[in-house]
Amino acid sequence: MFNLIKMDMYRLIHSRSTWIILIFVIALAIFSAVMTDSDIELMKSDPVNAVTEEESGRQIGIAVWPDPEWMTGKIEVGSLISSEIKSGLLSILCVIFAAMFANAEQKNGYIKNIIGQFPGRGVLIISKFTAIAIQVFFMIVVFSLVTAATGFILWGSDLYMGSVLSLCKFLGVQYLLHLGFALLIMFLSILTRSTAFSMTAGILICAGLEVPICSAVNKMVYDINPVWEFDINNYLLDGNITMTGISASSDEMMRSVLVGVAFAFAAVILAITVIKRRDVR
Amino acid sequence: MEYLLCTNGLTKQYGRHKAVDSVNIHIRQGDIYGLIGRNGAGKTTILKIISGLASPTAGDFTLFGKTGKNVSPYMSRIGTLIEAPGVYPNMSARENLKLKCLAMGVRKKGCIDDLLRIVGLENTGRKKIRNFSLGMKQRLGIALALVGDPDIVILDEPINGLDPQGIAEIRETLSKLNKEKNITFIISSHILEELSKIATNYGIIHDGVLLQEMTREELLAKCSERIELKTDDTGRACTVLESMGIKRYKVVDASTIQIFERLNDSGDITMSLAENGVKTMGITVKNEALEDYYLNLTGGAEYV
Repeated sequence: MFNLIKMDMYRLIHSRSTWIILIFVIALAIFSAVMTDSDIELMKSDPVNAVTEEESGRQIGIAVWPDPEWMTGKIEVGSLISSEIKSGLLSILCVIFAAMFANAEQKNGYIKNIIGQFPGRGVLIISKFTAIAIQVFFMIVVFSLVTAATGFILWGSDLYMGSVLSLCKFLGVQYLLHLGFALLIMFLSILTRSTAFSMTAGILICAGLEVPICSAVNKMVYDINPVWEFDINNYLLDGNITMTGISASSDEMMRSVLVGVAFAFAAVILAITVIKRRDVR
Repeated sequence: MEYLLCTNGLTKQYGRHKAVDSVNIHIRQGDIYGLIGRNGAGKTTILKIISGLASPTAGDFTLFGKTGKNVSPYMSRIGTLIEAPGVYPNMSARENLKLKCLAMGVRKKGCIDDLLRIVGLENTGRKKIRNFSLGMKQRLGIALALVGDPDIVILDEPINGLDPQGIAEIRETLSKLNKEKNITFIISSHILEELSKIATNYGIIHDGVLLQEMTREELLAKCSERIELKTDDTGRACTVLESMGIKRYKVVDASTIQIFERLNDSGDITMSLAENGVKTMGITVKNEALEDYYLNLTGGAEYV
């Protein structure tokens, strides 16, 4: 198994897509922080409207909702990173990377050179899981660092560190959610053998196109029993990514951790089942 | 252990179609086994099953004397090139080989250089695979199959895309590896003429069924020049042939005898048979080409 992990790590380091994705992470972090700066300026000129947007809940589309408190001039690093990550921009890049990385050896046929040597086959998924976990980790770290650095350039001393522990907790939770999402896309890539399908599905989920379906489910459950206060978004990866901010309660954090771990575990098990049962084309 | 690899009623069914139907092939250590068949005959499916890329619907195979789940530890002893070479186009030949070396745990120094030299790609440097010709990719595919010094190398149509010189080079390389390292090769091809220059054993497959297995000598004997004699009494005809000093002959059926010597003496044979009261119904000199033999066997001649 360790040999396969070494192979996938070598592939990760020597793949152009790995570095292109990281460059996009940096570019998006800068772009997003600059756009946030514009939003803050806009909020200052129209504070009433800004508060309304913040309270409007989950939306279709990708948007960063700045904290209304930033209008006062003080911006916490954790709060800034939280707003940027919650937008779903980073999860789109995770989706693109996972779809490309997981499907590459099926697409170019390299899998035929190695799969026969590993009759258990499950190790092929474990090694991919390891490589994806490492890349997602670096993506989150790079995104956070570049966001903070851009924020410092834009707002100088108005940007302050705040609680490091809260930031670490938040990043840890978001890491698990993003990893779960990437592994879900890995499973879809392996199942469909299509990079285009898994990538498109992932991007549409990130863009919140399933929000109307979730609302319909919520309404259906409410109609059955209004007391339940059921919200399906609480049990979905993208729902938790967009709703679990740095100021989330411990319960919300714990729920997000469980959702991330459950999706990651399920995706890996399902991918192993598929690869074990299916013939290589 | 008589055979290094043999299949036991290997069957692969897709829906109602049997791509491989109860195939039993037998391969000894050091053989160069040529699997011959037309496109869609089932060659690749058999090779995929043996390589661990596909699972059989029925039957199994014995490798190093082990069957079923006991085969698993020995699967790493098989190197494969199935259909088009699977390579990362944005990487160099060296990087592609490095990946497989890492996966197989091969740490031998200079092994990648050796492999590149064996297949004639030592001068490709950092050139990306996407800029390789089809022949170069094919050579890299063979090099990938050789990673980890396998005991058996399975090559599916390895000469596809190669120019005549490339074909000759690959043939020499495979022969050399077979003789020097005692690597057993299973090579599929639909080009019988090319396969006949290297293979020591043959399996002829048609519509998923193994029609015949034979050694190189047996195949050449079947295709060699001969007199085909049709007579009403093969028993007495044989006595006459013996009395003429003819030893190399074979009774094919109740009325046919094939004679493999004195090919210019068909007149004398007819005379002797007549003198001994054996009626000659027909006598012809035949020379069946390998390809004709194959076409006759598979019924392909009808389509030519």
